[in-house]
Amino acid sequence: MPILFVVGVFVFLLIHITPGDPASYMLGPSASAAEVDHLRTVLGLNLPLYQQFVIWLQHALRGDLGQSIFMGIPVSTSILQRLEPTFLITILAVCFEVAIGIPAGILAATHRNSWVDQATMAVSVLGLSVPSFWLGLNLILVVGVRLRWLPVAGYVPLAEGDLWGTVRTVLMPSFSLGFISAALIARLTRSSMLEVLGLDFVRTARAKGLPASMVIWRHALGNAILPVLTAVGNSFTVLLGGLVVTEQVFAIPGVGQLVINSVLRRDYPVIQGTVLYIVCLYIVINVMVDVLYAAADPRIKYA
Amino acid sequence: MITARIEPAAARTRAIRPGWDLLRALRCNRLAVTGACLLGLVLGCAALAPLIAPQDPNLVRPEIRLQPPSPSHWFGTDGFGRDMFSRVVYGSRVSLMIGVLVVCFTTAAGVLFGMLAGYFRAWDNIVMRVMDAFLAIPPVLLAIAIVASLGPRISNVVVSLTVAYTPQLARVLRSQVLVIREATFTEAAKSEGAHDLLIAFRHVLPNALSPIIIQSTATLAYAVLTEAALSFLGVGAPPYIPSWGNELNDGRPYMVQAAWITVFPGIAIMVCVLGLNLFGDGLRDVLDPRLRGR
Repeated sequence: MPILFVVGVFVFLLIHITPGDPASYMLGPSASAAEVDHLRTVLGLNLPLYQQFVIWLQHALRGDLGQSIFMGIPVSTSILQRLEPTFLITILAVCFEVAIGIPAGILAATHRNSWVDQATMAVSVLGLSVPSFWLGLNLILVVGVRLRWLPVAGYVPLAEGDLWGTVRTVLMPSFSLGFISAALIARLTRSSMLEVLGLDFVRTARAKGLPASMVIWRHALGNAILPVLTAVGNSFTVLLGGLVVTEQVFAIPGVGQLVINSVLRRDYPVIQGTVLYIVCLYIVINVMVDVLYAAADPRIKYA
Repeated sequence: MITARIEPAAARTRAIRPGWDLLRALRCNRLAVTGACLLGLVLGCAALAPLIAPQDPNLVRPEIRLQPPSPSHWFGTDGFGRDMFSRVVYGSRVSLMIGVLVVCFTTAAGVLFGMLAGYFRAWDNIVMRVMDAFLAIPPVLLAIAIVASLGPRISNVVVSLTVAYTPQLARVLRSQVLVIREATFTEAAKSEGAHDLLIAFRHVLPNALSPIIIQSTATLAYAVLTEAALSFLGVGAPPYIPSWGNELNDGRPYMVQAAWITVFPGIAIMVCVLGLNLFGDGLRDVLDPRLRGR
């Protein structure tokens, strides 16, 4: 909860660190004095700072993040409208991240110092060095334009009933995000596995004649997965940040695009709302990771 | 001198301390050497940009717009007929300058907050809660929000990236300092009546240098990547500055007819960040032998 409070203060202050008068900054140079005055009253900018904060906090706690200046609809509505593609891409990106990263890490750890290990780690360090949006641009060029396998941009909402169409539109953005995070997960899985593979109980499992796959997948992985789980949880912040850029690349009408559009339109209530919203999401995900932790490691019990 | 007699215990257990030893050890590390070569390439481009670049990066020549790579224009030309090779070479200046400034500021701020919370335990709770809060905001989003409020200028990009990446360093340093402040040599210094400030910066900080150096290399890599993302979105360096992110943004409309405009700046970013990552891995192997080969 203290996290939310601090973020709340920061988000509230965002509007006040603008150079000059926030109201006239938001409306741009073409606005008349009356319009600026009106906006200032609507936003409560005439009140003392602490009063503004208390009012803003009261509203925010009730889930009321204010009105979008540009679109004229409540901020929460505009976020909800754009949640679907963002949600789908994030989930799919995490699937890619886990499905590529963990097996690659295990493969590298079990073939330590072989060419498999070196190749996997080389790809992983390359993956860490590429901007995800540049990977996205190249995917568009190769998969979308040259091969024509997937649509280059846009999004088909689920409501249209064309599930395959929806999946096709989110496949490339989520892959470009997931692949980058998979690079980190692969490195972590490898190092965590190497640590566990050297322990006594793994030797015991091998000595009593268990098949290698059983030793690796059940005994070793079960014990090596905890740090990886934390990393997957943390990767959500990176994913959500990358999403802002990736949605722009693939022209997907998600929360990320909403942020960028709001920045360009100086629509502060929306920027504030989205940042706050994403931090809430981060907290929820972290709680979920903690629960998963307890499931993965029976020694951990939460009172 | 009181302090001269107190030999930090951690220095003896740790194989390598920053300095000449470190350079010698790095020379034998394959990762570090590869990384340093790539970084040297980028640094060389940045330092010698006016000599390497055949043209002014902002010279507009509409008659030769969208030309593919050729002997006269190695990386082709963009939508305004500007020479892409010159732009990519000059781009290294912008990216590295922003990156290095961000690293300087994050290190200063991170050390301040990390020591404050870890050694002095003053406002430990408050400082770390604030840091946690900033860690919960995706760095790109945090930087966008700050630049949006302050306006798109290079100095504001540096400020926003500093705010975004300071918490990581502060957190790493704090956990390290918490261990070191309980070490015997700290206790010894304290028993000899050394001032807290002296212990903190003369004894504790030097022993926490390794994680700071490792984290700073990572920060430099992140800063280059995030700056590119910000410029690409149009909320970073102003459009007239030849930064790699701006070049990628300029090239987007022509991606299908003129892929080279987006390909080469991307490769430049990759080379720079790859160099930093490899060098950072090498550094970590050398400075933290427990993690070697991991």
